[in-house]
Amino acid sequence: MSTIWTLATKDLLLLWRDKVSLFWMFGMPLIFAAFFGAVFGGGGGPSKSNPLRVAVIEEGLTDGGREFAERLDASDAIAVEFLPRDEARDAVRRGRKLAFLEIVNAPDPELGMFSGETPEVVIGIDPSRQAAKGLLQGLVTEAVFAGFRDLMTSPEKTQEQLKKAKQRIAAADDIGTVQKLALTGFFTAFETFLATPDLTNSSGNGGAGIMEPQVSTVDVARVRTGPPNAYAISFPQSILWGILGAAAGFAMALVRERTSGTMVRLLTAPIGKGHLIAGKTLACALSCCLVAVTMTTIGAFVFGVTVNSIPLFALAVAASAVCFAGITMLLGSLARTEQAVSGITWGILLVCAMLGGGMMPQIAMPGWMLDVGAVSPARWTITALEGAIWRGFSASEMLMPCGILFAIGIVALALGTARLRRTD
Amino acid sequence: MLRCRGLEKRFGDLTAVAGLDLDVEPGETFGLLGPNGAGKSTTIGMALGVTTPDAGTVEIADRGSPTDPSVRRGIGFAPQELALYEELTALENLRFFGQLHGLHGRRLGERVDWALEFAALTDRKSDRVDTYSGGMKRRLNLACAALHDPELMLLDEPTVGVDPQSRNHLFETVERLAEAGKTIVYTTHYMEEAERLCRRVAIVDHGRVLACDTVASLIASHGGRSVVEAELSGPPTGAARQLGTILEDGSLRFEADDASTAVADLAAAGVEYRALHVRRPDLESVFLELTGRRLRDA
Repeated sequence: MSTIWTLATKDLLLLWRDKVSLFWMFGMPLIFAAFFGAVFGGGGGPSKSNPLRVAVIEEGLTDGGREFAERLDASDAIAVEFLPRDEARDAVRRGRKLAFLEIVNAPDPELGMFSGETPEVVIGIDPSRQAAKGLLQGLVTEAVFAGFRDLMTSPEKTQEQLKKAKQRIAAADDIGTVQKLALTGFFTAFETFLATPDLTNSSGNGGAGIMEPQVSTVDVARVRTGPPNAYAISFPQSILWGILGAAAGFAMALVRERTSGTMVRLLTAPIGKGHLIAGKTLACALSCCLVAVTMTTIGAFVFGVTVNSIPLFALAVAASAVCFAGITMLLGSLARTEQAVSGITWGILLVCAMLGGGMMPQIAMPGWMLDVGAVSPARWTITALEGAIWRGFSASEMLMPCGILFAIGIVALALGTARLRRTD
Repeated sequence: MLRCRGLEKRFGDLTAVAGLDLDVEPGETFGLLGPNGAGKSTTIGMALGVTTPDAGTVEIADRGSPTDPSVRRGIGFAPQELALYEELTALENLRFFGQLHGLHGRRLGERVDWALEFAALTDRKSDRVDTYSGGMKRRLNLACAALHDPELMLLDEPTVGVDPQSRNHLFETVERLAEAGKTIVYTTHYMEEAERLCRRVAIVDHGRVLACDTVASLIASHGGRSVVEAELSGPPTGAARQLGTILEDGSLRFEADDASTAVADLAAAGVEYRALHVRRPDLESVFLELTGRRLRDA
């Protein structure tokens, strides 16, 4: 065992001195994880720090419209800027604004809900942005119905609006006497209702207790069915890329050793070929583990990635390491020159990564691609890592991906060993 | 120390070694010479246990075949290609190869120090090998082979591509190893190296040993006659004319088994010399005589 360890530590030392391989194992995957995590993440929706930026057309904007727009702006989800029509359209076309809003009609702020006017808002947005369009429609609708919330939560303001509404009804020429009487009667009754003592005090005696919603919260643990953030998806992918970098680096190091003369010196040492292959396999497997642990540690401390189960994560890492160490030995035995092994290795590993979710998250892959990806060890690596990190796999659920990875690794190692024994 | 009997090795249609017999005595420095493609490297590979012979046997020091790792413990090998990890330092290379040969602890430290001294690299032991000159790498390559104090050393063209100073240092280190009682098998294309270092030499071609003997005996039996070219003070006399050929510039050229006696006999006959050039047969003459002058590009 000490001989195998001696061989493995030598290879790890060589790896440490090879800055290019280190970059492919650690640097590039980290950049990948951070970049795609940021691109696909960003907190999952609009927020105070990242609101939907919309323009409100100034032309024809009434006081009610302006108050409506300001109500939108008060929301954390939307940032409003008042712009002339042409500028607003141009800002949307050039992507500086998500959309423009033309508030065609809005209730008179003095009359509120009792103005008799129907709110009307036109949203101008790129038709391809369906998700953002839906979100914006929801926020606008919420602002429209905020008037009802005022009705229920601000009796004084509502009473003022009722009073003004009654005055306008009395002065109106286009409303019949019967209608005037009916409306005035209804508004007077409503005023009386709103004047009820302790109406807004839910603890008061005899109050309706319905005007101001009393909200309290209870903690209910939600069963997670998706990743907690985008980095939880990008980091397993980046670990895969780091492992692929390690596999490619070791495959090329193996052929370099065979062509440079050091392999002959190793073969003339008083050790068996089995020791040599075991030493290389161990070094490669340890490198894969190091990549996974390092990337996950960075993910945890810098990007908020949490590992759901440490033991299952260790199992996933071990299975992936065995799998790709075996594949490395097989790839390293397929050709006799560094260029040939490099081409073969990256060709095969890139296809594995493409099919297995290394480029597109599995969560976003179509069904047929998931089916085809079953032949790729990359698919099972990501499944196992995600299972341990955020999918909440049980130990029995981990058996399949990890078992497949161990099996691929052992078969590839056996084939690679047979080829190396025959060719050297 | 090294005994090869009836060694044969074929690579497809090519017969690299065809029934080669070799005996290397303990403590001797033995030269293995041959043109490119003669089968030297394949023979070395089989002697190391790296290449499996199709037929024949190799035995090391009466202990058995070099395919047995315990037998290989007694062999040191310096390949023609530098077998060093260039990203590691000399110290790291030596420690690694020492550990592979079973050295540990204080013994490992002592042997590594010895090897650094042997290669004259103690001052540069912590520098990466890729910062070394060609000569330094060759010295370290040889030191790695000698590190574990083997009784048999196989040195495959250990002076290729080095400057005269490094080559001289390498000669001295090989001589030190020989003085220490090591058995050395030395392959080279440089005949003067074999003449200087080797007691016996085998000339190999087409996978067979063409001749194997001491250098002097090989020269005596295969080197041919000495060639004498003499510039004479006066016109050649009858004796001189009978002995050799008169060249265009008037000088006399002749061959003799014993050049000294022939020159003395002519002087006694009245021939006066203005200048004498005697070319005695050497190992290169033997080599060309046995292997021919046709170019070998294999």
